[in-house]
Amino acid sequence: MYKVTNDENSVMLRRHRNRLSMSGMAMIIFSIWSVIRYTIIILQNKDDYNFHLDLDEGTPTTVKFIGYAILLLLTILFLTWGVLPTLLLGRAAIKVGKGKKKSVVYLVFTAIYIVISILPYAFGEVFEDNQNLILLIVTIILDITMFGACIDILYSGIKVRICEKRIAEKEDV
Amino acid sequence: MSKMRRVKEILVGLLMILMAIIFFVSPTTGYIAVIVVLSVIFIIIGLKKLWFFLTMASRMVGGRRVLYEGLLILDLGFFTAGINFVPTVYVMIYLGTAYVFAGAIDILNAIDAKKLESSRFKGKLIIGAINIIIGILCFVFLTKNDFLVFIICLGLIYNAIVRIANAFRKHAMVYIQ
Amino acid sequence: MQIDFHYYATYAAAYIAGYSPKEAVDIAYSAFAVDVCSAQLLTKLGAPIVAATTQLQMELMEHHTDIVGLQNITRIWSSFHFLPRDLKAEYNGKCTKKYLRKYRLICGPNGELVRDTIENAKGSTLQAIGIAMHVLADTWAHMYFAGTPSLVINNTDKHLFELFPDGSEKRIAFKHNPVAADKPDEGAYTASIYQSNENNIMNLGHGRIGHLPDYGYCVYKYLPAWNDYKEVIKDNPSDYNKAFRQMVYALQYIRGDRDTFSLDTYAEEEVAPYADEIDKVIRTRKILICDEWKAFGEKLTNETIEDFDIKKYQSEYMDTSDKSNTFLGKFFDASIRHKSMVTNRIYKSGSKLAGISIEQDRTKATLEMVKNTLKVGDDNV
Repeated sequence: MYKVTNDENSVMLRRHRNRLSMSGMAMIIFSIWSVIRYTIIILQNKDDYNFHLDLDEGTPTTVKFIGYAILLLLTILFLTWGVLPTLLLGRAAIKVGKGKKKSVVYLVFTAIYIVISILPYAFGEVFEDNQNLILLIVTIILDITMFGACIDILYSGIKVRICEKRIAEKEDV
Repeated sequence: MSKMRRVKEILVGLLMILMAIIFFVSPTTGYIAVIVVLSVIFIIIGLKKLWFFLTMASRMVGGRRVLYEGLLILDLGFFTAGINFVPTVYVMIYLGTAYVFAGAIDILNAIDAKKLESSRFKGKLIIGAINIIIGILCFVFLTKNDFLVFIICLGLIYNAIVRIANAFRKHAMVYIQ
Repeated sequence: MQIDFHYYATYAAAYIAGYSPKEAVDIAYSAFAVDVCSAQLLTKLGAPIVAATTQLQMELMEHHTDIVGLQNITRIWSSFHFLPRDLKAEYNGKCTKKYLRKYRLICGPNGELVRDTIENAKGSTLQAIGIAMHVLADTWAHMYFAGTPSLVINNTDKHLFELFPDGSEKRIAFKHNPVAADKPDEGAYTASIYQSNENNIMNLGHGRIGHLPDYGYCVYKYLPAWNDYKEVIKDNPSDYNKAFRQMVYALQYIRGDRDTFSLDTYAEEEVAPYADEIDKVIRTRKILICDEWKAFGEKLTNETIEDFDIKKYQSEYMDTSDKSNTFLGKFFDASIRHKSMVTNRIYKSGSKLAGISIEQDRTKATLEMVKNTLKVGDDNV
């Protein structure tokens, strides 16, 4: 009376959709985490703010506070803009993983992102100006995770497409 | 509890009392020590999660989540070690939440014990109430560094006493067929 | 399973198997007592803590999840509520020994341990029979979960659907409010929250799927954490019917009406006259169907079934010096023996998840020494 769908394609589809959702969520969370991280690092270097705002010692506290707040807000917006592609990629991966969307566009952008993320390491830019070794380790861990998540999204995304096609063909037959 | 574990629990308890004394005498040194310990704990938790993924969770439906959690916590641990300060207010919020939660569990357990007419309910009720009061005070004195020092010392000493007392309790390990 | 099946259904099964109504009540009482005999109750009665057959929610929440604590939890839950099906099971693929040990604790019906449980109950007290019936019934309800805190075995996914006879299915989205009751009519259910720590209490048994295994009417499909993305269907009406028939069969064997107890064998003939009625009761879409089972049992025996009263035998136990001959004394003895047997079998399979077990001569003096040692305010056993 009740039947399970445990044929090879269905099982594989479930597995890869699940991985797609997980990796998509990881992309979003790690992107948000990188924004938070940079914000905290910037907050540590308050002296830079004074330099950029070019404030005199006699400036009222209220003005200083508003100045800091605006600069901080602009910094966060800039960082968020920088991670917007990964946020959108993650969101698309989650939607495909939940079976709510069928698309290949996000896979193309994922492949592009993978290439872009390798470049700073290929040209050694990441290892320049490393004043803090521990924060460099943090950056590397984050980058490796995002890279791994992208690879997983690409692989699982392709597998999902293949499985969906096979299942559709079987249903047609 | 094996002999080795008893010895370990007693030593850890004594170490915690020592840390409480150091913290009380020199709060700045103690606070830096707390941040270092916090970052080490995060790093260890992150590594443990990664190990857990490799040995167990990779076979679980949705196991990737454990992998990403481990990486995030590991990253957080290194980041905590790398930055120069963590505002005391975050430590206070964490402590306050932990105390309130622990107190709530104790009180619910006391209610359960009361329903069964067990004599243990009074003790649990008192401990639960104390934990909740400490937790609320953490939020009231959110920005007071002195109070933070007091709370951390109190927590360390309380946990040390519980550990040492537990080490001397009778525990049965062998189950006979 | 809940009081409706453990108490009232067991009563009916015992009567059909040939026990008198009085004996059936004693068996049923013992069967449900497994769900209430906690360390807190035992402390109040001054009884050996080692006789605990369950742990209250609050006990679990404050329980240490160190090695000793986990062994205590596993001993209780694997022995009485999630009896392992196959302690020699092999995982389909590569896995670590640690994973395999937990995988082997997965509960299921018709395993060797069930047979041992029933055979041990033969020639024993009514209390031991009641405990055996509880254990047997739970192997049907709680299959696919393990009686040890384990994320990798007991976790569930959002892929969870209730199935209906007309072929339709509805996704179940759990709420995590521990105070709110389930609403079967609305399809609203609660379950424990995801906890990523492997040994967290929330990952014990079927907590991650809420009370669905305990509802006889419910048919659902989901992805068990250990099944590599393959669906399983949990057909509770079918399983509960089989559990009832197997209980009758087991009770007939224990009474001596059958020579052997074989696995995957059910008392079809004896239950046949009542099959439709039993099936109707099981499929009643309610959280608890005590009234329905009670009505069936009373119609069956023409006698009133007294409601379960946890205090019924307490004074008898507390006021006497000869505790071993009281109702509760016999229950505690039976629970210690059963727990001992299961722990020993798990240990012999190469796993220390339920603790260490040694075998020695069961002299009275040795048993007394153990019981006295363990009685001293110790809730770590």
